[in-house]
Amino acid sequence: MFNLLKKTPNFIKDTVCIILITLSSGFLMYYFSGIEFSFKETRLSEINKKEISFEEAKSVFENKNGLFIDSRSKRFYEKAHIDGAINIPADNYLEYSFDFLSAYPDKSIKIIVYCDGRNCDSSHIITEFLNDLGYEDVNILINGWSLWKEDNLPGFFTGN
Amino acid sequence: METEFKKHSVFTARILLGIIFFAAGASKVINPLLFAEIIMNYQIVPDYLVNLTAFFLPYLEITIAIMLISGLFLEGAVIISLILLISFGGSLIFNLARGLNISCGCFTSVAEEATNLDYIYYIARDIVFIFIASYLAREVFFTKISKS
Repeated sequence: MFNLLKKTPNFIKDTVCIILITLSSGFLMYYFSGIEFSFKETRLSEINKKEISFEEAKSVFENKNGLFIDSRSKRFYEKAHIDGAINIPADNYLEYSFDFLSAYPDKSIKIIVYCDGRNCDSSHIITEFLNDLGYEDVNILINGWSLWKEDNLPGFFTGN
Repeated sequence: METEFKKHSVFTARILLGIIFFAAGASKVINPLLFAEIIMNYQIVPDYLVNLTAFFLPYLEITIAIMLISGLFLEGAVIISLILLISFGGSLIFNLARGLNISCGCFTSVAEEATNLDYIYYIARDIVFIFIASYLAREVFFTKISKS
């Protein structure tokens, strides 16, 4: 045993020591600081949200193999939205459950939820809602409406 | 004379890399949840490992920083820092290729939007760090110049 330890290259021994120091200091801090942190759960697993890149969303739109959902309020949706997108506003989404379920009974349908701005979380709320309804392939297009406009992609505008 | 110069350059590289790792670790250790969100956005680490990574990675960075500066467990510190820098660089390139404009999370745990130009800057910066770490690895492992 002692001989084996002697034969082990230095960098392996050093690496093991560093990892042990890291783990023990981390656990000590966790224990004494009283930090609220779960090692198991992540927000990702909680709501099964998936971020989709703009390029991927564009190809879904072009190939018409997914449904776009605008999670902004009705007022903004009516002004302008991605061509073909339906509106489920984050402020009263529960009203839409029945209609949505009957209109889209296929739970494996690819859904892309978007709102506007990097910090807009209404698409996350709608993603959570759709996951709860049983839809499996729900994706979030972060900053979706702005990116869509910037790229001059087809949208519906009322002109107001 | 040459050995003196090498000793000084190795010392400088160690301190520099140590400061870099300390800055990176200290900025993230305070709020592991925010950092977890950044790691999650990368979509590289499996879901069940996101929080573990977010919690321990900053401690690893700080430990490496201390080891690099103090010269203790130097061989291990150099190897781990090189592996970390290469994997960070790989993740950044992967993200740039996928067109995800997510935060780098390199020296902060705040998730901000990053443009392609930002990503090129992050990658260039990482390459400089890798260069420093590789130089240190060469000197530590092959020339056996180490502490002080």
